[in-house]
Amino acid sequence: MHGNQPVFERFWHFWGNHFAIIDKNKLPDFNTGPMQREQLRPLMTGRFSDMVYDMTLTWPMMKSLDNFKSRGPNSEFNISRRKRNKPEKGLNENHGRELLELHTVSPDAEYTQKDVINAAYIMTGWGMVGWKKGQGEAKKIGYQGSLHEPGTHEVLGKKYKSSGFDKQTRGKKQLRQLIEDLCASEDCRNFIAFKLCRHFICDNPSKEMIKTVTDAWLKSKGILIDIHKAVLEAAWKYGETEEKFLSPETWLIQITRMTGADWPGDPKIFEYDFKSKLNYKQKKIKWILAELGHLPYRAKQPNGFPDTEAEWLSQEYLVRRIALVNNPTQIGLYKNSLPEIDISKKMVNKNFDDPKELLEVLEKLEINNESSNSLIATLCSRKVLKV
Amino acid sequence: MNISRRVFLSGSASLIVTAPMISNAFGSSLTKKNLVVVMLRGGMDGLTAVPFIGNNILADARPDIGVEKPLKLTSDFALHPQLKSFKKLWDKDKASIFHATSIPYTGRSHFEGQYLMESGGTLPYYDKTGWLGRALETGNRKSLSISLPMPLILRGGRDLDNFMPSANKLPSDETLKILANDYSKDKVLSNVLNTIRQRPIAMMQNSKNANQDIKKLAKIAGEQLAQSDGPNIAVFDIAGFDTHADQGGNNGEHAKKLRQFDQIISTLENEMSSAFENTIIVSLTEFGRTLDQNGGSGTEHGYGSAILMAGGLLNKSKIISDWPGLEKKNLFEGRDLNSSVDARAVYASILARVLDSDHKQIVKKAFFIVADDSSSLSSAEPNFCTSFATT
Repeated sequence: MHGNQPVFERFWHFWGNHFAIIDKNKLPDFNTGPMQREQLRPLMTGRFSDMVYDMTLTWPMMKSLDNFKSRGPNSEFNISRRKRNKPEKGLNENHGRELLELHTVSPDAEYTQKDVINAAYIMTGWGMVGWKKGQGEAKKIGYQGSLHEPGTHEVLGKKYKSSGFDKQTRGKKQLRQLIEDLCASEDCRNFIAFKLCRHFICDNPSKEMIKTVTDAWLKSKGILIDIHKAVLEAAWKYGETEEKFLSPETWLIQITRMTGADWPGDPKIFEYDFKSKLNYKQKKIKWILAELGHLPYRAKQPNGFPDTEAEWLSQEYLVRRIALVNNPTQIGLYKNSLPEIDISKKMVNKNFDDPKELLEVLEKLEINNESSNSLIATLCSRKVLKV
Repeated sequence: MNISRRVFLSGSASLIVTAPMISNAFGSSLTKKNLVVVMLRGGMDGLTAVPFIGNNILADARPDIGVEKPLKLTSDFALHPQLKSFKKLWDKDKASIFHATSIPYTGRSHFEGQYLMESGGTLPYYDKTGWLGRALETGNRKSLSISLPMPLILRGGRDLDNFMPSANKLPSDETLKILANDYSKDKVLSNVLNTIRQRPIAMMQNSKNANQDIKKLAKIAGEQLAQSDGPNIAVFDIAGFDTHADQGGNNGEHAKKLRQFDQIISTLENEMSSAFENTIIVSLTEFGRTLDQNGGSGTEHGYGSAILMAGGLLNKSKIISDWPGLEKKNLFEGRDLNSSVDARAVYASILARVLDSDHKQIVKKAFFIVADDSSSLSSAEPNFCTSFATT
């Protein structure tokens, strides 16, 4: 909320949601946060395809999309089981499908069920390695050739061969090649550029906006810094005439920055060790985001949280925003700080290029002895909900 | 297997949503009828909810996730043991099942599938309104969704509200008026705020600590549906049917979610008392799941599933199916239970009865299908569930 690189943080939120981990198996309690902080953030200045590859090979992703359980039907592992008359363990398509649909090319690429299965074959072998029962720390992701489906696998018309003689590493390079090809495709560029423009500019981005981003993508060969710059350029160029209904989390951050409330407090508050339980101050922000319906790490499905007004504007969502501001201590505005009307006036003057309209509303409230409503009238106004 | 495939379609299909005490005449009904749609996200496995017991194919395909001792319904079909309340209603001739049915979408993507199960169209992410909402755009009916977002399925309708209990308090209406003034030029925001201002007080008082408890949510919905001036339509949303790993059999993830569906039914029955007689609850999902279990004791995305219906508006318990069979050659693309009944036909037929609307109009509005007069789309026609097969 009070960071000194708000633009970077907004992109971080975007990518965290792009590689959403669902609320399953306690992943949000222990794994999703560290993944986003320690693994995702450093990737945001590199190449998109590196980001996809590294995020694919994180424990929360492997676990939530079940690839750690997937086995090639004709892998060494299964052939040996077959010989010993033991039940075989088969393929799990979940991660292969979402790699195509959600993380890279989207259904616009018109892949088939066969492509999905072949992508899943390519992913077999990748999972957790060197982990023993009872070991608490995060699982290491690695490749086991014995679980990999041997042979050449074709995805979207391109064949991926199994090369090398070492049994342990044979087939390992297929995933890297697949992700490079997917990320270099036009469908992928268009899909990701569309999502970025929808997130940062408006619900129905125009072809020109998207082209600004895909051009930068092509020119830089997928360097994220250049892609991000192009998004900002498009937002600057086209954003003036467009409106975007803010998601609950973005709105909460926005109004906190606007009021300047010293909340949720010093970042040191959030330092804790795994041994102790979270205290009230640490939990409060979580409760509020949950109440607003936008608790990060807790998306119900791997497509993450939505990004449009149609999804975020409903009776119940709006009730919760109004009710939150109705109790200003919740957003760090305590009784002993300035009266509400003064906070509101200061905030409007500071944050709007054209504060006249909202100032008139505030003046009217003062005349009618309704100053106590001034925070709702401003923070829940149309101008703040839609920017 | 002792079902004759064609007998179903010619004989019994029209019976399923015929309410005994309600006149079939269109547009004239004094009784308030309620429709509850429960969306089961992630791909509800029809073969777990309503296992086929006519032969061993299903049991053999799923050694680790089979349902043991299911509740027997007919010689061919049984019910998951967690669907206890559903079974009680079945025994009272107030529950029915369509089996081997799906919306006409075979792409196996959750997000496309869920979009289409709600939009009622055939192009993912294309239509901005939902089939239920469009069916409700005329007539004097209210809808309540038990969810934080306004689900796509209801968008486009009039008089929509959505609700989840919360402990936080809204300001007085005087304060909300200030916002109403501010929103006046924005039609969408205005409508949303307007509904909030008109919410029944009972709904707001019910608000504490019920967020995750499906029984408490169903109780609130039941109270509202039972009011003579309350909503006629309720929508629930249960996610978590996408069990690629550790699906479980009698217990486990899929069972837990089916139990939630069952709890909605039992709670509504208890809460609505006599109004339950004029109510039908119906399930909706994006696709079924593969016949075979996969590498993680789960199942993959499939095609055909089941539609479960319960409530007083039914007058006969039946399984309606043009059962395609589970033999490999009968599976869709060699892996999924096939769909032999277009799910849209089922929903259209239910809508026509609950809304007392002309079936042809409903089909056109909800599902964009214009029927020519010679086809058999009238709800009075016994063949309604095959009527989409050729379009």
